[in-house]
Amino acid sequence: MHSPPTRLYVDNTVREAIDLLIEHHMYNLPVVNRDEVFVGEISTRRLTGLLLPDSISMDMGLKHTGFMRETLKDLHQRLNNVSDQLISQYVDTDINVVYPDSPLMDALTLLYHNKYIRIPVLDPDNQQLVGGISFITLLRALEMEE
Amino acid sequence: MYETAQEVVLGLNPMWVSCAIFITTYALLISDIIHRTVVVMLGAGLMILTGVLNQQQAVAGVDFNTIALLTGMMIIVAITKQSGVFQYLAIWATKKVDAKPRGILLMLATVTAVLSALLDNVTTVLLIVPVTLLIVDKLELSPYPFLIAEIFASNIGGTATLIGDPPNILIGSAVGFSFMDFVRELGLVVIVIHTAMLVMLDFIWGRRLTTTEECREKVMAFEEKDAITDKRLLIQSLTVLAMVIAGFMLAEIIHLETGSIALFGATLLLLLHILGRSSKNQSKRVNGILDEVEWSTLAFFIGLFVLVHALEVNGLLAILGEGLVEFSGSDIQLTAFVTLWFSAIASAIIDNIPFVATMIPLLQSASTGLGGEEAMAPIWWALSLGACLGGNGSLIGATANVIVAGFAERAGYPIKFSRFLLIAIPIMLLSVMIATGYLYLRHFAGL
Repeated sequence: MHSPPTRLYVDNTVREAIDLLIEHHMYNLPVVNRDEVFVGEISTRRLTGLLLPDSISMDMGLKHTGFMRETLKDLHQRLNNVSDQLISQYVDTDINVVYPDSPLMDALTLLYHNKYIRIPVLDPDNQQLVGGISFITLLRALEMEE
Repeated sequence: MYETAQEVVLGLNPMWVSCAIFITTYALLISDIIHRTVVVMLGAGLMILTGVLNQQQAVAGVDFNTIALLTGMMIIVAITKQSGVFQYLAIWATKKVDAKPRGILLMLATVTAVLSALLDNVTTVLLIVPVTLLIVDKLELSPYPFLIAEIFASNIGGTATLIGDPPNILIGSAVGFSFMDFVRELGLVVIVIHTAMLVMLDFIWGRRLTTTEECREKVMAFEEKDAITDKRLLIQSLTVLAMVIAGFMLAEIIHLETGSIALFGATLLLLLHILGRSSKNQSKRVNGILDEVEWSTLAFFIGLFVLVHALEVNGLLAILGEGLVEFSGSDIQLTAFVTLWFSAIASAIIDNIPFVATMIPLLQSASTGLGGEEAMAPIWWALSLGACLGGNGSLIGATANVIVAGFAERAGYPIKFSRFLLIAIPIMLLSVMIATGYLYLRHFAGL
């Protein structure tokens, strides 16, 4: 388990989330409230949606938009429009989690089937975020075992 | 013909048991608390479990021509839409009016109406609304007028052909009207109604729809050619679609039912879609397309056919049919106008598919009293016009309306039920009044 985990708070802004994702070279980050209770995750996929018009990022939106002629200025303007918004509205709360005493196979199966890069590990008593488990942390554990 | 049960579970009269199951099913459909497919399948199942129908009778009640036609068209559309042709059409239409909002309102509504005549309404709005939202977003305008126009256009356009709206599929299949019968009988009146609707919407919103030159240039920069994602697929799917529609037009001459034509066309397109691919890729493609078939809609239709058949075999619809003949005094004109207005009002409140599925056998049972099959023609057209146009009467009047409302909400412009009614009721009244005048002139004025 990777601990302590890098995390975002629900009252962080979109700009702060992007900065942290870039700083840690991460594709998604866990989000907690100020009591450290796990709320969900913010992903680069969700943030990518913020660069697009609603008609593309919405449920049942356009799948192919090769006909559009968007410039970097257009994307920048769209990002600027949301960069000061709180990330709470963009957090994905439907996230699979594991606990410190969960079987290792549970974590491995979740990593494989859900295409997760890292699975949050929570304290079963208070649902606080205590760490994260990924393919890399598992590999490191295997190396140490050897 | 199968024997009708004299008594069913607990010694009850089958007619009253079937009536009770049917009314409960309808009430559940209106309440919308359980998914409509589960409701009708439950009702159909109870018709069999209580002994009102046996399984053979239930199967005999299913109109497999309608099921085949729906399935075939769903497969053809699922493949065709992957080519991007519908986005192409929307962008092409927008650029034809130099991306001027007033023109876009009229053009996109007309594209929606034409596509709705050839495809089902839900598919049409699923394809047109996202690209509309994108265009309107670029023009920095509210999508509200555009989406409202597309709702009306989808229901009006769908009225014009046999395959445009499920009530027409049901009527055509049950009565034997061909694709060309629908075009000949309803094509002109649909064009008039669509034009009247556009004039009304332009009067309400037209002058207020303005944008900047810069916004228009952004839309004019769209390259419609790049909306086409697969040229080979485009050619294949449009060829098959054209062949299927030609088949519908010639159905009487080639002695084929529309269901067979659609399903064969769908199979041919599936074959072209997988030809030359590895077996693994073929499986993926076939399963991917079949996943897009709305199985829940097909199950809904099957359940509905069984439910209505139960009323039919137990004589309830014959009694109601006699009541209709008595009420109208065998007056075809009065019956046609009552059918038109009653269908329109009912379809604005409840799903027009179960409504029409019930009305068809009811009217069939009344046909002898009303002067026979030939004399009934204006009544069938009245049922089609009323049921299809009535879908515009409220936000829940047709599935396409609900789908557009969902898109509007996700785009941040929710369509309120009451606000929609303010424009929907005048549009519905206008269109049904035009339909009334048309039916009178065509069938009763003796011109």
